[in-house]
Amino acid sequence: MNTLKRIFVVVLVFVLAEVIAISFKGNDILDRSIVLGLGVDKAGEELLVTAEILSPGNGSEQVGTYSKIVTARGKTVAEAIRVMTEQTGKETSLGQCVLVVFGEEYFTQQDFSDTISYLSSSNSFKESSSICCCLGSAQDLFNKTEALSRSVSLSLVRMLREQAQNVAIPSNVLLQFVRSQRELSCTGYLNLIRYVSSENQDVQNPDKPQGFFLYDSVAVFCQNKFVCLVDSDLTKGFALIANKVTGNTFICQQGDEKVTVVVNSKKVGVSLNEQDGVTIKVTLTVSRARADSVESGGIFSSKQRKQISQETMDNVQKQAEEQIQQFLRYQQQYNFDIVNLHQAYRKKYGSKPWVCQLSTTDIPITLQVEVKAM
Amino acid sequence: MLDKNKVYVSQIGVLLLLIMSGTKILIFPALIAKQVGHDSWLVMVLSFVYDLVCLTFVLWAVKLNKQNLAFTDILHKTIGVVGSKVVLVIFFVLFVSRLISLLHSCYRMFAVTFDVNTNWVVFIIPLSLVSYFAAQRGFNSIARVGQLLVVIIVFSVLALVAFPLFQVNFSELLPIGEAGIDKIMEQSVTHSFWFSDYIFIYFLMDTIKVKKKIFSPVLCCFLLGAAISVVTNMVFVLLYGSLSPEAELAMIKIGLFSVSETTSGRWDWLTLSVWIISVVLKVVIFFFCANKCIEKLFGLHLSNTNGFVWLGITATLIVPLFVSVEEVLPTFIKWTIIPFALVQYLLPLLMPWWTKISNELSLSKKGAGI
Repeated sequence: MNTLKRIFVVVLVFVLAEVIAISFKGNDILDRSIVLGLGVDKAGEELLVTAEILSPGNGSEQVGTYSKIVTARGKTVAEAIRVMTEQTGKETSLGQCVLVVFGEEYFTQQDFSDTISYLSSSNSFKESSSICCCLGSAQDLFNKTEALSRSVSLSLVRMLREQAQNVAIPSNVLLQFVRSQRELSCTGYLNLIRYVSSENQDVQNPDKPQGFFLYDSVAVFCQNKFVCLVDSDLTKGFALIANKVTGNTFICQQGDEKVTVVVNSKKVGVSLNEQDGVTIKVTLTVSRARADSVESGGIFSSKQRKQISQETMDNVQKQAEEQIQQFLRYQQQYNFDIVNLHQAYRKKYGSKPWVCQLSTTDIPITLQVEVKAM
Repeated sequence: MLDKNKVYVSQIGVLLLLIMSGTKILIFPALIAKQVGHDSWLVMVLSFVYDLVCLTFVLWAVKLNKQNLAFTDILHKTIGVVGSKVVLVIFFVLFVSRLISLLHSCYRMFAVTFDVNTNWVVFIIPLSLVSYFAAQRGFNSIARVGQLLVVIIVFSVLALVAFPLFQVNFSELLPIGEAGIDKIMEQSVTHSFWFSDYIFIYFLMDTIKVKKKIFSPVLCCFLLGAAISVVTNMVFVLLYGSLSPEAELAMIKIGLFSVSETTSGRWDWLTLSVWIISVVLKVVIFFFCANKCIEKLFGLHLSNTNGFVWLGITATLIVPLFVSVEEVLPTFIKWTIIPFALVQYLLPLLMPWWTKISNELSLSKKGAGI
């Protein structure tokens, strides 16, 4: 290769490298406001969208302590997000959003299919994000940052993802909820969050508000429209037949002592029986509630000396059956199916129209509860 | 024959394992879920069964190829010059169209996952250059890269699928065959375009170093690759249910569930970045094969990869600038299904017979001193 050719090749490679480097436009993180949580409220004919955001590059921001709450109005969530971009001067990035909250007025009075469709069809939005609704407005909820001294979105996500299933509260992610609203009975649930103020006894900051979130009940929806609320007592019954949810407690009299028994692990089977009804078989593994965490291994915990009498176990079984039956009656009353009874029919008959249209009241249910001591 | 193109049977197996997933766990699951819902895994299994049979025949042909005849030599000696050119044209169109679909899904994946925006031309140029460079080094270098990376690539796929695998309920795949056996079989035939990754072996027939074991290494790798693809497809359908047809890029969607606690970061970005190397390898191999087709079609005897031929192939890849791949591809597949089926499914069955004939002819010519 002569010198001229070599120079030509070097120049060509340089030009190509430049063109390629310039053409790949990554979005700089400094030009973004990263949304951690999104709240949607009804504001007259419009929507009020509240976002808890982090803006990298603005000083020494830290997650939680320095997250900001931004609100914007629009006819749709997409429009409000665009307005938010205008307000902040940075691209509103939803790729790291972990929580979506619907305010009370919005979820009770409006069909929110548009919002759900916008979120679920956006490739960059995570379907694994938690979704819930709240009493009052979502904007108020997100503004409780000061009371919690940390990020509302991260606190709620931690509660819904990690703690809920250990304290007998079923929880949902966006994907499960979206599927529930369009498959079989088209009914699903969202956790209902409410903020409870607590008394501030801090003498150094007497004016600082304090409180916590309560999330012990759920709201039921059919095709993205509100159906009814399931209160905390009924939610306990729902938790007993929800897979992977443990932590239900039962108080029983054992001799002279009041014993608190807790569900450590369980197995739930929903299947069709010979009469074409549904059999729900629940096997609860329980132990005495203790202040330590010896039983934290769940089904893999080593066997220990049984501390629960047969009488107590019978009592637990009776209480569990009552709680489940109470919930199932409520489910039939409002004709929804968040236990996936329809799934049992689908597994046998496929997604036939009659399976989807089957009313919950027409499904005969046989309940079998078995209680085992750890 | 250049030694740098020599490959071992085990290397062929490894490459097959790596390239099998490619589009099959990227855009194919959504396409097939649109047609047969949760039975899409059955379509995949059926297609892999056809592939398994054909691959066995191709390997048998490789075993019978004692004279190390090139694929085109075998075609020349059996179906003549015109016949062989027709076959090569079909192969060229097949490789180019698969390259376009592969690159297009890859392009979408980059834009969606990493939020990197670029234009189509600038996206294909680096990949074309990589392919050119790799082919210049010889097929052996491509095979060595595969060998080096196979463990981490397979691990990254497994890491993406492992967590959601324990979250889903496999009983939701019931009832099996709900879409109807006829429809499942029909879909496995009409979507054959996405399968038959073993076809690159044809273009290596004269360079494969045959040892005692020829079937087991390749077939084991094929079965492992098929198992990964089928399980990934199952997990995707179970996770997304009725949303599967709308979830365009399956692997990205599964990746969202590859971590339990999303506030601790995006593990899926790391594993996807590693897995995408296998897609790049597939692009390189298809480029290599398309180049071979042109070389043989025009009777070129090139010691090295020709830059102009390469430029020509790259030029054909700008098609997505003028037409929408999503809109045109289904019609294209519909019209080309028969010619493609000839080289994907009929040719492998005939290959052992044709290889035997051409080897005997070659031997007799040598014996006669011609």
